Amino acid sequence: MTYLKNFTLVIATFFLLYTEVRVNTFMSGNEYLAALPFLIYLFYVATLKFSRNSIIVLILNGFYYDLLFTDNYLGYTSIKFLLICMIINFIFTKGGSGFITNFLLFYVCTLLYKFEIIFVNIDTNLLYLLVICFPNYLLFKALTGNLRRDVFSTKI
Amino acid sequence: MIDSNNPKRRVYIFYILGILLSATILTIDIFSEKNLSKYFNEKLSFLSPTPALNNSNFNFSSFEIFETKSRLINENIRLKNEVIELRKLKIENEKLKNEIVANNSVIKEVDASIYDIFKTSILFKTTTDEYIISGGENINLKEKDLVIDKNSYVVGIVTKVNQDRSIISTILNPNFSIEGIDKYDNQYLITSDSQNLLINSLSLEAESTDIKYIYTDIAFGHPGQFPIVDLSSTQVNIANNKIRAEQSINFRINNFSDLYLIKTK
Repeated sequence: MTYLKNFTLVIATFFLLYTEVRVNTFMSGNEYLAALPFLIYLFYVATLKFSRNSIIVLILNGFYYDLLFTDNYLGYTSIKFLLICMIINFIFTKGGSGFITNFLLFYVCTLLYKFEIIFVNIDTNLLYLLVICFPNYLLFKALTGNLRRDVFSTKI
Repeated sequence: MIDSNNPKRRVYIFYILGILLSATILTIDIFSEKNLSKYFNEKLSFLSPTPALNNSNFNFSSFEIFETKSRLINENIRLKNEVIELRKLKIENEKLKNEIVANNSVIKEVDASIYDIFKTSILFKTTTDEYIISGGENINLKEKDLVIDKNSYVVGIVTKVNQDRSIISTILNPNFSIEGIDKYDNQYLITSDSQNLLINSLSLEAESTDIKYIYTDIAFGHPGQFPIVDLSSTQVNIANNKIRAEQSINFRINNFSDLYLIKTK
């Protein structure tokens, strides 16, 4: 059952990654608009589901991304995903948990996620990443709000 | 001080082990000159299906289902299907006419006896602002082959070739750079900041601002001479034995952009 669950999770996250790349390709004309569903998953893992079960999922997703969507060496993106998760989790456990704090943390997560393109034109890229991460953060809040709702323990 | 048996610390250790595992695979891939990633890429290409390069041919077999049903349905429905078929053909015909107009403008500019021209399509955009296009080793594409637009201006170069897809770096990529020459054989390095093309001379044979076109050249590993920029309406500066110019990029790319791959026959 555990294997089946992990396999389903890997397939689902592959789909998230594929969707992210596909949607952003369609929206490539507008640099202030980007859907980052896999980043949302990464942030969710780093802040709310930080466990060793996620490691293999992140490694396999990194491999999937390296093999099919970039010319990176195999393993590069896996290291990036794992490092992002560790860094964000470390900051999350040290910092507060308010809306603004979490948003800033999500912004840091976005900066790490897109660090390859930041240094080229740092001013513009910092601004547009701030713009694109806001709707994605709202989506994260909306999704985690729903996921956390425990319907069985709710008093009727 | 974190306790050594702290479960969170143990998770960090597992993460570090994961990073080490990935780093090991990365090292193997580096030392095998990407043979490892190439092997898996070919095996796993079904996870990211690629459309065929010439996918605009109308396929009548899609109507087979109607034909099998036509044994059971009456003449009236068969005629209805034929009308649908004709309508689809009409739409397809319009599409092909538009494509012919776009292709003609490229063929006019490019000598089809020397070069192979492949129309390609954007599949994905990567996080590093590069694009994955259809067509790779299956059409003998090589690194440094050119991507041109319908006006025959170079808008990108092939940076990596896989079996049925390739990665291109376009002039919208902030890391884009390409070497070119002008009519005086001055050599240039053209880079992009995603908004403007920055033209800087590498070596000068003649100091003149009357440059007009800067071309790609076979000397830089490209298939031949294709214009990268037209400087006829751009201010060109000469200072300290260097030619500099800056030109804004008007090119925009999306899933429906007409892009052509150029390679020598």
